[in-house]
Amino acid sequence: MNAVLEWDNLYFTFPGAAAPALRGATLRLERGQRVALLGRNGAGKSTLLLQANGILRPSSGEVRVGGTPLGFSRRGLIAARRQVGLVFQNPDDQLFSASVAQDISFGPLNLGLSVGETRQRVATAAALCEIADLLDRPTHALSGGQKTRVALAGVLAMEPQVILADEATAGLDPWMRQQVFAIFNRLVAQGTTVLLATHDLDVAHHWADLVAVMDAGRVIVAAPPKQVFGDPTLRDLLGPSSPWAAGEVDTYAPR
Amino acid sequence: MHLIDRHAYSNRLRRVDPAQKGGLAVLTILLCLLLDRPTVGLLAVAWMLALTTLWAQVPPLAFGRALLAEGLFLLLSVVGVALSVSLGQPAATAAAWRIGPLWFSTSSEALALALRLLSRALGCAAALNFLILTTPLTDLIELLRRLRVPETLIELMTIIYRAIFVLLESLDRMRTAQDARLGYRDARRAMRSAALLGSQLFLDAYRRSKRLQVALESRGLDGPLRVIALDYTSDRRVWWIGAALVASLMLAGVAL
Repeated sequence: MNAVLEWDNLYFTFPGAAAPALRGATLRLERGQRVALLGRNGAGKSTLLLQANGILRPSSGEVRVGGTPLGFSRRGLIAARRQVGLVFQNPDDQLFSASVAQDISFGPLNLGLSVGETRQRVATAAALCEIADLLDRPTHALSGGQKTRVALAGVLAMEPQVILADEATAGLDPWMRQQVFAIFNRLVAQGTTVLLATHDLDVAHHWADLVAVMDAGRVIVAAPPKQVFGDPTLRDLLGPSSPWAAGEVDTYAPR
Repeated sequence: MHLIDRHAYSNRLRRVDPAQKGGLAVLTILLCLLLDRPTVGLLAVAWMLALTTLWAQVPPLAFGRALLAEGLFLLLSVVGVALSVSLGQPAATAAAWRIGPLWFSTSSEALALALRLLSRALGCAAALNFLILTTPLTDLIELLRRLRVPETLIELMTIIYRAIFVLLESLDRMRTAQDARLGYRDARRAMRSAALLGSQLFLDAYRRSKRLQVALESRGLDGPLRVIALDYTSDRRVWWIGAALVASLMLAGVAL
């Protein structure tokens, strides 16, 4: 099978940082996959995602989007950003316009689509994210969950092959989280690959087909959830949580 | 801010083309300035109040509060026109008062001038109130875009308007956190906390701007911030209202 997105042995150090953030990170995503990216804070999850569309440039290694190496020319970057959509944890960091419709139209227009096509894309993305009734509301009057869905629609309107969501469901209530996962599942059914970087091990356990675990700038495991959550060493790395909890409910009890 | 914003997004003229609403407001301002009569200014206030409350269905209180704030401010500034201050007793005045070594006096010309200035400025302020209470800033920015205002200004307005609300939320959270740790228990501490808050808010805005830049680049930012135009309806009645408005103001300016 052809990979839609591959990170191949990436090394990267933030300017001025003492230690590298990525040290040989490798991961391969296939079409229509549900992926959970786990790892403790500082393991390099966000850094890995920002490499996928050329926001950060690796010092060595290669990113391949749809089999083609990511180029850092203007054209190369536009091609990568067309295929790889990034959704951020805080929608307020992504929504720049006070008009919901105008915010969603930003990405498609940047792809060079006509105004007519863009309107079509806005309508489709809004329907998919169930925010059609919010299109002419001001951004600042929306709730957190609504903003998350608007931010998601702004990325979906570009119709990328891969969605990389960096803790996009953190801080949402379980009902709203379910709404967001319903959107993810619809995308996956259409053949889009969805990767969610998360600390929610339950999500990784129940939702994902592939669970990737990062530690110290490397992807140390990428396997089906059953295998990952059957490995007690990973439990020590990631911390106690319900996928491992059978018989260990007193994890937090005083000793 | 929030009050004006709420009415702007929910009034009955929300869907009407901002060019039409802007046109009415600009016409009123021009007539107030050109005709320059107290009756014209006051009539303009009445017109704008009527349009805002009866046509757009914005509560009169919202319009009144905005106009009151502006009116008080204007009143303070025309006091200087109406009153003269001198050390000796002024000659030929309508009224004069002595307070200590100073003489305060006024004349009928000075009063008339003050009234003219006040009513003219109030008329203009009312016209702008009508516009901002019926037209959200997104629509005004859209109007400026159509009027070919330079791209950079439009982008700045778009991002600043959004940032106001994002930063207000930040400010609120930080203030609550400080308050919870007794940061405002007395005046000295309040000063110190407010100063800290100011500098933190600046840093917060700076970090947010970097994250916004990354998010926009991820969505293919490549040159100007382009977005689709918004849809509006054109209301034919605006032409009739505009004509009646101009006719009545002209009549007031010439006849009265």
